[in-house]
This record gives sequence, C-alpha cells and structure tokens, in this order.
Amino acid sequence: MTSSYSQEAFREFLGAAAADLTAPGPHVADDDALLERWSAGYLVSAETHRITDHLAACTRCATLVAQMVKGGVLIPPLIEESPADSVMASAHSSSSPGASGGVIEGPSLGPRRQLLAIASLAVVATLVAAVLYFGGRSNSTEGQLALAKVELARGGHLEALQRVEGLLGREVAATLRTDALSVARKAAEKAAAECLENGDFTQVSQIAARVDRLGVASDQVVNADLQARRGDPAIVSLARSGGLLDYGYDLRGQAFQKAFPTFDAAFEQQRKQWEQALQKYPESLLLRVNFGQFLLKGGAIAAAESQFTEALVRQPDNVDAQLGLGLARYERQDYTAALDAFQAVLRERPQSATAAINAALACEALQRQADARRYWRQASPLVEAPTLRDQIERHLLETPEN
Amino acid sequence: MPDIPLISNEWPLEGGWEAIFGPDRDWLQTQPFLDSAARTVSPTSPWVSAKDRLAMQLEQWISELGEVLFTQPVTAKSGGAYFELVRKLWECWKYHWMAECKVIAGRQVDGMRVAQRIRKGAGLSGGSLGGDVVHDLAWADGVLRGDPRATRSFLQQFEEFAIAVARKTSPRYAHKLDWWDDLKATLVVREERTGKLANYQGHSGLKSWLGRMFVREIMHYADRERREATTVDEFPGVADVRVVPADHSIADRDCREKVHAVLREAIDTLDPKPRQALVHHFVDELENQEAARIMGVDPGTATRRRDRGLSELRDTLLDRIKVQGDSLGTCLKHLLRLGDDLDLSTLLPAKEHLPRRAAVAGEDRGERSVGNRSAGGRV
Repeated sequence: MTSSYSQEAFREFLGAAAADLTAPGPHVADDDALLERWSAGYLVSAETHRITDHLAACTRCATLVAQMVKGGVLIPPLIEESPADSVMASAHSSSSPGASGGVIEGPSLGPRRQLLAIASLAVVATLVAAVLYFGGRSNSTEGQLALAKVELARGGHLEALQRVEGLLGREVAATLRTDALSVARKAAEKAAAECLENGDFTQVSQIAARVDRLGVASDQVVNADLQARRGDPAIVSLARSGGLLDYGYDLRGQAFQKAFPTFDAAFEQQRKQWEQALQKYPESLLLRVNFGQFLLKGGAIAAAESQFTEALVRQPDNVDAQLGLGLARYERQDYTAALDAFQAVLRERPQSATAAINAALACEALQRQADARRYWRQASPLVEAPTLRDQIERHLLETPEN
Repeated sequence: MPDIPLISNEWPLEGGWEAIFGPDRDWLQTQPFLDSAARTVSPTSPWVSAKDRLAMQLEQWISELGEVLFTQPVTAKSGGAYFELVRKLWECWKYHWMAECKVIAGRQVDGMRVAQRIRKGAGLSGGSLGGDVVHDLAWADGVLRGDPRATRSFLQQFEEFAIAVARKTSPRYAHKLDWWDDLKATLVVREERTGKLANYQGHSGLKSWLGRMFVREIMHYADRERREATTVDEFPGVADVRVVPADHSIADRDCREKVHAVLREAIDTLDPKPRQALVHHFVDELENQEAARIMGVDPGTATRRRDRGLSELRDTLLDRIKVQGDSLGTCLKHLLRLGDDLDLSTLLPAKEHLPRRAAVAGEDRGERSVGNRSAGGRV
C-alpha cells in the first residue's frame, strides 16, 4: 500500500473521531456579524480570545470556519511572531518546564536562534551606546541623523523615518539634507516592504504619503503602495503566484476554478495608477512586472504580455517577466510560445518548481505527454507543499506512460 | 475634499440630508474635521459644513458607481431609490467608522480616511474586508432594484464563484448545483425586495459575505446527505469513514470499531488547542498560515501546537496498545496500512512534520502530569 493511502485513512479516522466534539453555544461560526468584525480587525482582544477559545473546543465551528478560510471568504488577521516573543518563550520554557499548566508553546532555542538572539542583543547594545554618545547633543541635527541611522540598522525603520521627518522640518545644511533624505528613502522602502508583507496595507499607504510629502522619489515605495491598494502582500507578485495553478488551472490544465476575475471600477482606477507610476519610473522593472501581473490577473492578457515583453527588452534575464510572459501566452493558448518562456525560466532557475509545473502543463496542452512527465518528475521533489506533491505523484500514476 | 459638483440641492425629499445625518449629529461632532475643521470652513454653521462634506462624498460614490454598475444610474431625481442607496451607504460608512473608533485609543478617527480604507477593502491591524464594500453595497442595491446590468453581472460572476467555493469546500457540489439554484431563488426576490441579499450591509465584501453563505449552504447539504446515509449505516459513529473499500468481514468491522474507539479516546484526551491544530492540518488540510489565523497565533506557534498534538496522540495510542495488546496494533496496521514493524510515528503523513521527538515528548510528559485530562471537563 502507498503512504498516501495511510495518510488518507489517518485523515478520515481523525476527522470522524473529532467530528462530534462541540462546545456549548452560542456558536461562533453561526454569527456572521462577529466573523465579519473578526476578519476586519475590529475586535478588541477579549472578543478575539472568546472566538479562538470557542474554536479550540468546538470542532463543528472550527471546521466551518476552516472551510471559509480555505475558500478565501474569511481572512482573520495574521499574528506575526516577534523575536521578543521567541526569546521570552525560550526563557520561560527553560526556567520552568510545564509550569504553566500545558500552555508552553515553544521548544528551547536551537543554536541558530540563540545566535540570532545574541545578535539582536548586540544591535540593542549598539543603539544604547549611540544614545549615550549622542546624549549630550541629541537635539543636534547630526545627533538626530546618527540616531536615525542606528535605528535603521537595527530594523527600527518606522522610527528612523519619523526621526528624519522631524529633522527635515528644521533648517539643515544642504549636504546633511541629502544624507537625511537618503536615510528616509531607505527607511521608507524597508518599512513599506515589511508592512506590505505583514498585510498592513493602511500603514503602507501612510508611508507612501509621508515619503511623498518629503519629496523623496522611490519606485519601491510606490510599488508597495500599489500592491497594498490591490491587497497583494507580495513585493513581486509573480514570485509568490507565478504558477498556472495560482490562476485557476488544475493539474490537467483545466480551468474549472479560474481565479475570480476583477470586474469593478477599482480595476480601471488602479490601472491608471500603475500607468502613472510607470510614467514616473519608466525604468522600474519591479513596477512593470507587477503591472503585468495585475493586468494578467484582471484578464487584460495582451496588455500584460506587452508589459512583460517590455521588461524583457530592458533586462533579458528577468525571470519574473519571463514567467509572466509564459502565463500570458498560455492564457491565449499559444502553448508552444508559453513553453519557450517557462523553459527560459528553468534555464535560469533549474530549481523552480513553479516553472517546472508550468512547463509540464504547457506540454500537456501540446499533447507532448513524455515531456510533460519529465517536467512533472522534475517538479515533484521541488514542491514544498505536501498536498501538491501528493497530487503530482497521483497525477503521474493516473497518466499513462505512453 | 473631493472636487465634484454638489447636487444635494436637487434632492427633493423632505428633511434633506438632515434626515440622514441628524440622528448621528452628537457623535459626528466629536470626530476630527467635522468639528474644528468644519468650524474653520463655516464658523457660523459648522454642522451644515460638516454635513455637506459627508454628503459630497456619498454623492461622489453614487455618481461614480452608477456609471460602472447600473444600466440606469441613480440620481437625486430618482427619489426613493436614491434616498435608499444614500441611507445604505451612509450606514455602511458609519459602521466602519464607529468600529475603528472603538478600537483606536482616543476614539477619534478621520472619517474621510475611513472612506478611503473601505474602498480599498482594508480592515485594521492587517485585517481585511474582502473587497470594496461601497462598490458592493451599491451593486447589491442595484440587483435588488432589478437593474439589468447589475443583475446580469451579479448572476454571471457569482455563479462562477459559487462553483469555485464548492470545489474547495466539497468538490461534489461543484457539479451538483442544486444548492446554488435553491440559494439563488431566495437571494433575489425582486418584486417584494425581501431576498436575502437585502440583508447585505457592506460590513464585508459581497464576495466574502456570499462566500460564507455558500460554505454554510454546502455544509448544510453535506450534513443532510451524511445524516441520511448514517441512518442506514451499520456503524453510526464512523459513518463517513470510507477507509477500507468493500471489505465487510467481521474481523474488519471489529478493527474499525476498535481503532475508531481508541482514536476517539485519544482525541478526547488531547488538549483542545493542539487538537484543533491537528484537525486543521490533517482533516481540513489548511496551510499552516491559515490555521494560525484561525487559532489567533503566529505561524510558529501553530506548528508547535500541531507537533505537540501529534506527539501526544502517538503516545496515547502506544499506551493503549500496551494495555489492549497486539490486537489493536494489528488493527491499526491493517486499517492504516502501516508497515509490519508498527512504528506509530508513521502515522505522521510527511516526514517534515515529525516533531523533534526528544524535546516535544519531554515537554508533553511535563504537561501531562499537570493537567488532569478528562474529556467531559474540557469539551
């Protein structure tokens, strides 16, 4: 018997064993107004705990909520792990194992995490030293700028930006001003990228507005802002969703569950914003490739293809643009050209599971079964998600050799 | 302030904008830009100035969305329909504004910023509304009014979406769309305007709101079918366990009952949080980040909970095998098709999910001695 059979059996037994564990009502999953407020981040801490506690005890509600999350129709806020939490958890677990009555979540730190903890302490120590050094003249422009640089180095990007904003509100020498603007740009770029990846889209827009007020030009901040406006937490969309499977295709290349198309006025509005951004930063490949992906997702295939082609003219080995070009060509059913693009990605990045899967699907569409199998076999060990890996293996078993 | 023509003077209804904003006047006047800024614009009548500011925003939305959503745009001359849409949009805006006030220290929020946020579909603290709620509310209103363009796009796009949600929730309902036909009939009843869609208030995106309804509907259908199947099943407790194909030997049935009973007991004795993590991972097949969102923890903690659950489950099963003898082990081997040398770590579906046994098992033993785990006490 295959291991996937055991997995399926285990899953079924586990599901049946847990199925009727319910907690007393009211049931969270039935209260749509509560779920809406949870997803929007409108709950205070006590209300959130009431939900999570109920879901832990009530499998019925947890399963229903899980289906909603899986279907993308409920997106509760994601809690980020802070380095401080890890250090605290470690200290707690090493000093009193089990003392919290079964709530200890973290194993002790491994050597790598210990090193990271030591490194972060070193950065803090540097900051303290800088504060002491500049303490006597902390209000001087040079002192403020130096502190901003230290904050930037230790990862306090927003703090650094705020400090530079304060500094630039004063009369400063031209050379110092240039230096300060450079720190502001770096801080804003890093903060915007961080907030974007954390899904804090409001903060990204605020950073973009602040940078604008300072008169700092940064295509990275503009890119983060545009990505935030469309609710995409990726700095480069195609780096996260560059596979045909992300666009609604299944492993047979069929598109029963095509991504929900964009259809509202916001699309046109955002398209104009991208175009304006590209007019301002025509050389920015980051903006151009993301704009291409935006158009692709919105169904503007020809326009998307033109953006990817333009990006490749400027940088022929840009794999994201190449990947996007392949997707666009696949969408318009030019599978041979799509395969060329995916193969070009694989030449640059032989370890790209996404490109290998895309190439396999293009081969399937071209009825080149042997080549398709070769790409599936190449993709399988590269895929990180166990479910997808199983699906590929099953697909290989189900597809005849000849 | 948006640069748009003020058309509120054309509004023929008695009471005008005061009928919309008047009931919220006290609260509105505590908000920034509607107090001090309005006073700056019009020192003698700051309330009129504040109302104009809000009214212009609502009018801009209706004018802009009318162009893209409706066959026949709604204007102030439309009378009742216009008033209804204005009222809905204001209630939606106010809901999100007040919600933000509730969680922000100081409870004062710039309403115009809220307006921008909800158009982007953004919540607070990384939360999401799941779409442009202002657009969606106007769209739903158009469908309820029977506007042909709004209705056509609604039915077309949400049928595709219904199939997509069904495929993820329970694939068999992606092709068996009785549930969607039933739901569609109750969603939009144009003549009486009493369809379920009338309950949509723009608190979240229409896609999310309907999607949750779809999931409930599909689960309801699935439950009903399961219940009907269970009444004729020989093993009610394991009715939907289709593990062993077409094997009805007495020994096999005994095995299933035995394994189910012992797993049920093991699941009962698990701490609820690691148990939830296990179910989300193996039964619901969620990504780790999705499970973390539901549990309200960071992804690292979600992983640790799942590993702890697996470790506890394995230990409990090994304990039960020691007590019940080899027959249970043989059943597990048979039903889960494990190797001859029964190592319960093979219960773990993928090697990368194996917990660091020494550390986690040690931690588990510590916890187990603390907690007195009775199923009744916990669930």
